[in-house]
Amino acid sequence: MDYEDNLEAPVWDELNHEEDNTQSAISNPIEPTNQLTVHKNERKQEASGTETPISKLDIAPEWEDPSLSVTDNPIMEEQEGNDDSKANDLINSLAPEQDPISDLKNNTNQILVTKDSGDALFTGNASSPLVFDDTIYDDNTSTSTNSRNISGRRSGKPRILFDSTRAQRSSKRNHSLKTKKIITSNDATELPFTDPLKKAEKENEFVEEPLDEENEQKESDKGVITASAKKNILEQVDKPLYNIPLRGTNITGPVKIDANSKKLKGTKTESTESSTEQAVNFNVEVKDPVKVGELTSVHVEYTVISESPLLELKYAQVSRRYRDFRWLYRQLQNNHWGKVIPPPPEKQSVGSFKQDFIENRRFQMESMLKKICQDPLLQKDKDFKLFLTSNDFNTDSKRRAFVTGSSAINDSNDLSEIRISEIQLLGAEDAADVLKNGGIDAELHKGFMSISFTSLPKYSETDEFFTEKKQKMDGLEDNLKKLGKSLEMVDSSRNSLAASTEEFSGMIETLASLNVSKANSELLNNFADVHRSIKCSLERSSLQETLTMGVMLDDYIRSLASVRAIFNQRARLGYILVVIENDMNKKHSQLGKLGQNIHSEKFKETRKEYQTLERRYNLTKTQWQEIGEKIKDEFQNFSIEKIREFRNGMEISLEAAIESQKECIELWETFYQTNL
Amino acid sequence: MASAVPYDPYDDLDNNPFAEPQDDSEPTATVTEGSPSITEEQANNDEATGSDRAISSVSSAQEELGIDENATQSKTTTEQNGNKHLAQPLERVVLAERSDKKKYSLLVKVTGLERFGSATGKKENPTIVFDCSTNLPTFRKQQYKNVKKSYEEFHQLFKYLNAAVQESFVPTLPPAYTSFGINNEEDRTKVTRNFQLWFSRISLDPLIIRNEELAFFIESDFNTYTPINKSKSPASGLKRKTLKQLAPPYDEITELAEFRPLVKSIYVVSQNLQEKLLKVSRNRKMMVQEENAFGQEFVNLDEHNKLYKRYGKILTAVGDIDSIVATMDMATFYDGLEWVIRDSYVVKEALTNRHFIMRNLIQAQQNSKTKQEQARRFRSRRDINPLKIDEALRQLKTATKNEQVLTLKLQRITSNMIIERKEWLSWYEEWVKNSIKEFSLRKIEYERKKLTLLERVRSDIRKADENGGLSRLGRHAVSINNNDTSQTVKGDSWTGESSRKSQIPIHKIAHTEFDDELFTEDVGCASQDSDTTSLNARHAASLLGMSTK
Repeated sequence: MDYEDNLEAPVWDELNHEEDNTQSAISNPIEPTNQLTVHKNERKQEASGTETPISKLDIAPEWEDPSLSVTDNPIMEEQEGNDDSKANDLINSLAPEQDPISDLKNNTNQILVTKDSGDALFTGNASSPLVFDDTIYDDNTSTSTNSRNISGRRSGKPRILFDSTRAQRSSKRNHSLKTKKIITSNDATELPFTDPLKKAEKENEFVEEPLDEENEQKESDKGVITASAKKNILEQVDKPLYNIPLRGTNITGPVKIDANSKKLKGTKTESTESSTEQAVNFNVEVKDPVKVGELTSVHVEYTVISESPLLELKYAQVSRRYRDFRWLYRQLQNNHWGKVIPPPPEKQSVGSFKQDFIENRRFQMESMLKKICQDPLLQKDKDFKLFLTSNDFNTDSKRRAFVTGSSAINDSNDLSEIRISEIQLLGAEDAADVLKNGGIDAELHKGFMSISFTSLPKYSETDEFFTEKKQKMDGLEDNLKKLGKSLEMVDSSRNSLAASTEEFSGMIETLASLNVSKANSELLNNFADVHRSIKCSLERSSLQETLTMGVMLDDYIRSLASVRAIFNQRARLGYILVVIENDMNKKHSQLGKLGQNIHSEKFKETRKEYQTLERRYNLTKTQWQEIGEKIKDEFQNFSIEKIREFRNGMEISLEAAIESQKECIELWETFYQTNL
Repeated sequence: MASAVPYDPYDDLDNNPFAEPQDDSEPTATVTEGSPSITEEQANNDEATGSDRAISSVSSAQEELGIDENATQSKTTTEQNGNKHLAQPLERVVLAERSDKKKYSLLVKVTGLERFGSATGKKENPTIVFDCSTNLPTFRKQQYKNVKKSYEEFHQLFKYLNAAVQESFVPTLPPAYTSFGINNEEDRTKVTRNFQLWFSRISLDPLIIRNEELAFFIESDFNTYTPINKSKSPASGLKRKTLKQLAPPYDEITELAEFRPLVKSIYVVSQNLQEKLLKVSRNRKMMVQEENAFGQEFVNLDEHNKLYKRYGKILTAVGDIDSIVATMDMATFYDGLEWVIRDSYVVKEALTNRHFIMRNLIQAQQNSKTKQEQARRFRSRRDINPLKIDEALRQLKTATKNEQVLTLKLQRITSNMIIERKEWLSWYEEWVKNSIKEFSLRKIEYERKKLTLLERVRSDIRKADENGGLSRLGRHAVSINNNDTSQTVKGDSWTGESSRKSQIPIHKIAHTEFDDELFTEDVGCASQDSDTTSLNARHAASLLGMSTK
């Protein structure tokens, strides 16, 4: 866990360099390990400020490893990398921005060098061992992008001294890489299905870039490209500056995370937005479901306990009911357009007081809160804090819902249904104006009801991304639901098999009790025992399957609804945009007609109206565009995370299946051995 | 007495009334009750001995038989020593066929099984091909090659033997088909083997092989056999049902008295067990359907994602293995139980027949007693019609004769059944054991195959994300190895006992029936779909097996 904490904050440049490393390892197939170690040495010595090319050369052979290829020992690499990064972070915290090489460099390029040397500083910082797989297993697309990035950046910037050798290598690498790729891919074909998920993901790519686990890396690459392309010195100046305090926080307040997904998210936010966003340690627990209320108002209340430095009192304990979690979902959805909000469990009207249902719901709500906590953006949300701390939640929640216009109180069943708050969109004053007139599209309805037969403005999604993804998502959801259903069926049939096995074993015992002979009875009794154990194992695996695959599928399906919600948000904003544009055009033409009479009262009024509309239009348009961008990012993150989660679920259930299979074999073997 | 001399194959006991008559002799001279000639012979045979004495000696013989069913030389107990000179010949008289077991033998080797004809005929009425060699005098030749008999003919023979040889528990025929489904190799070998077993059980019973019908059966042409002799069971139909309602008569042989309830419960419990197994098997097949559907859903989940596809396919294949397991369960244990059920039923009925005979004997005893009483009364009266005296004497004589016949018959039955009881029990034990053995072996084999399949996809899943899943739990060590299988020639990786070897050779479990399907990269969904429907012979067989049950 320790190193993961540190890994939590890999900065884009670290990752980049890491990639370098592997690539160079590939480019020198003769001495890959050698190569790697060279880089590591570089980094280490660099960090301690004693770097010399000679010493590098000296050390290199020592490090030569008999297990030539990198893939042979990823663990070793990984762990080394982790250790290194830890050490690195420490060094960094002790001496931030202390860069010996930069001193050697000419001062004019100081800033750029700092940035570049930042790269060098983290050479071999195998923060993500996945990188190895990536370069090794992945096909040309990803690597070529990478190499393009690297070479592009390199040529655009002055190099550090020792880096020149690497540059030569890298230029070599650029063409040798292709052939190497072919070799690896040949290897891949030798072993069937070397890496199906990756391939699949690539095929499945949501953006033009291949979609794989190292996506954050791509993202950071992209960041680099844009940065270098713009040559925005200011930004480049900014970046290292950002890095320093960041790393500081990273060390002082290690962030607790559950999965790599978190890391991914963290990195992502850092690279795209400003890097101040960092998830703070946040613990949430949902427990002690209690049935309260009488007759009509009977419901279950859960105790929500939270602990975090973000909270005023560091600790809070409140009791909340299911409805409140829905409120939280809606409220967050309203506050953060274009963000996938961890979904609450589905509504269920019947049997909502059964013990296992309550437990299941509790678990789902807890995981919802935990996910919110892990999100650096959502965890700081005002409404979330309100949810965790408010003692008079009933009124508070209503007030907040009213203030934000989220209508979180009138919650619809469908998680994907959304509402765009006018207040959020247009600001409080204007929104009040709009609401008074009966909403944004009120005019339109009015027009429609009267004689004017202007066709309803229809929003058609211009960006192919959205339509395509939406379709894909629908298909996926459909499939997942089917999968979930058949999982349930497998489960129930497995349980009935267990039940009949039990009966069968009971009957064998009856046969044994006839006592035909001692040996016979013993044999039959043992036979019955084996069947009983098999039955237990069946039940266990059935339960396990529900707990892993079932819960995961359920979560996946609900999350998809949440994703659909952000798509709906965009569509809704688009619709509003069209409506406003329509109105605006009308006003414009009206204005044109009144154009001769500039000073007339009417003209002024119309112009004012036109201006309001224009303002609204602009606001909505920027929102619409923003949300589009955001959704693209979110969606990508979401897909990766979910695919990873799904794969994990598959692995766990497979392992469980294997284990129970072994148990089963063992039972039979033992039975056979002792009795037959 | 004189009539027994010409057919003298049984040199040690030429006047045995129960001896199988030779072909030329009158066919009615068998053990079938109610045959007049045999009664005559019997009467002649036992005329010398007084009826009282006969009964007493019979009971002593029974006692002796109860202790030593082989009734050969070694008798040590004093009481038996006292009766030895009496018991020995009586035993020989009663069970002549048992006295020299090795004398006649029938050796049958089942060589084949043919199924042809209509759909039901194929299944219900296969033809069994066998070679036969014997030294029985009832046969015309010593060797018979390629004898073909249909199941129907076997059934006729069994029906006849079961009624005719009341002394024995005639082994029932094995089922005509197995749960493997017909028309596959496994079914063929299994049925053949079962018939071989049946023949060996038949030929172990000296009473059965001496029955001339067996010779008629083997010597008759294919599909022409019908029993030449008529046989009838002591009671049948409604009469039998009513008689069965009565409490069984007192049985001094506790072994046999206890045997019937035991066999009956074996019969009932086995039937229940069979039912439960059928249910298990059905449920398993239901599960298979769901598993297949689940696997298919996985395949459909994302048409571009090969991992899902592969995982789904593996799941489907695992499901298919489960379906095979279901079939194997049926074919091994269910079919095994089937024979137990059939056999225990026959044994039970044979024991019931014995009860009937016991009851008849009691009746006959009472009858002869009344007749004796009558005769005594006549003697006390002087002035009686000589005709009436003659009549009474004749009646007394018939009654005594009848009683004697029945006594001897019961004696034969009892002594033989005591022997056969042990044989049957050991057969039962052995057979159940074998069925369970086969069952477990199949289970092990297929569960291992399942494991092989599951482990095959493991590396793929793991490779997809080196950093995720279980590797997070520090299980790196397993994650690198691409082909980590826990079952190797050296043994199982999970067990501590290295010396223990699997019962199934490794090469058998390392490959499954579904390998071909799994390793052909999906060319297209359409072809893959057809693949699952037409898996292979075995799967087809299991499907067939499902429809029949």
